[in-house]
Amino acid sequence: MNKSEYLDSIRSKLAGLPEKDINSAIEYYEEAIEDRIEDGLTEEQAIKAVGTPEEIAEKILMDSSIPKLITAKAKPQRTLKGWEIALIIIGSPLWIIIGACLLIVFLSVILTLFWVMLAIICCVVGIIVGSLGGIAASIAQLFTGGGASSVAMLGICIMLLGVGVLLVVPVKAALTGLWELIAKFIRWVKRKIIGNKATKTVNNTEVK
Amino acid sequence: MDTQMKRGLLDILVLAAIKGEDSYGYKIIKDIKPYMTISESTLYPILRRLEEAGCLTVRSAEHNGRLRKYYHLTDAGKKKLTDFAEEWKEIMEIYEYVVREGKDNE
Repeated sequence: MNKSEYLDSIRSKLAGLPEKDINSAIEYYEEAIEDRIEDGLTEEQAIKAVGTPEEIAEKILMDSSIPKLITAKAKPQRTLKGWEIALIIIGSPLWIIIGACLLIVFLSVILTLFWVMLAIICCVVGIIVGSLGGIAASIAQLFTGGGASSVAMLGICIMLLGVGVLLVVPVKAALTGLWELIAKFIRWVKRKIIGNKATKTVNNTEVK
Repeated sequence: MDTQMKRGLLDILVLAAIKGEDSYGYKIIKDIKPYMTISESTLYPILRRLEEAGCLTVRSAEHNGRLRKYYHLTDAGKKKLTDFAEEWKEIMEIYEYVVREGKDNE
């Protein structure tokens, strides 16, 4: 495979992405090959050193946003025949609903994780603010003759404050974990969208 | 190394590689090779991401009758590097502690 075949192969695997993204990638990989040739490698060695079109395309696709991937996937790779267009229009009530459902499920999962994060933050902030308020109130009560019950309340509030402060570290870890879970979920969805495309293209294009 | 950690460190390594003077893809790969071996297919998305985040800018300049893209570190990129150095001071302290404890137990 020579340079132009190689670059064409990358281009075809990125088909459907915005033209600007594709051109930027092609320019980049062309430069990568040229630089290696300048460094003394043959064209073939340079291509081999840069990597297979499959892995290049996969990395780029995994780094593209989900809307871009869906557009790329939905864009037909050839002009559609009349009956195909007719079928798409007739079937539209069905696939629009399916698409909307998938989108809603996706957003629900992400939102749920976000709300869990928010709820955790609210709990801890609530405990800390509440206990600080309680401490202030019970001290004020002590001065106005609150007696034993105010002392007890003060103690409880200080304990509560301690619990709140102690919770900060594990909560931070939990939030990072949840955040990573969101990132993982997004990567999983992307892989599902790219899925067929990547496996479909692994064939005899491997650089020998 | 943990993949999550590697991903973060790669961004920093790439920024560090263009700290002194503007650099290009192949040179960045060669410069960071002693620390981490990466392929062009790994570097490309990183450069794009860093550009989108405003940590670097790209310009095309002529080289041997063709265009080559040079990457330039921005102020935001410099800040990322100093933040990293600050953060690692703390991590190094923890490291010292961990290593010392290990020796005591032997």
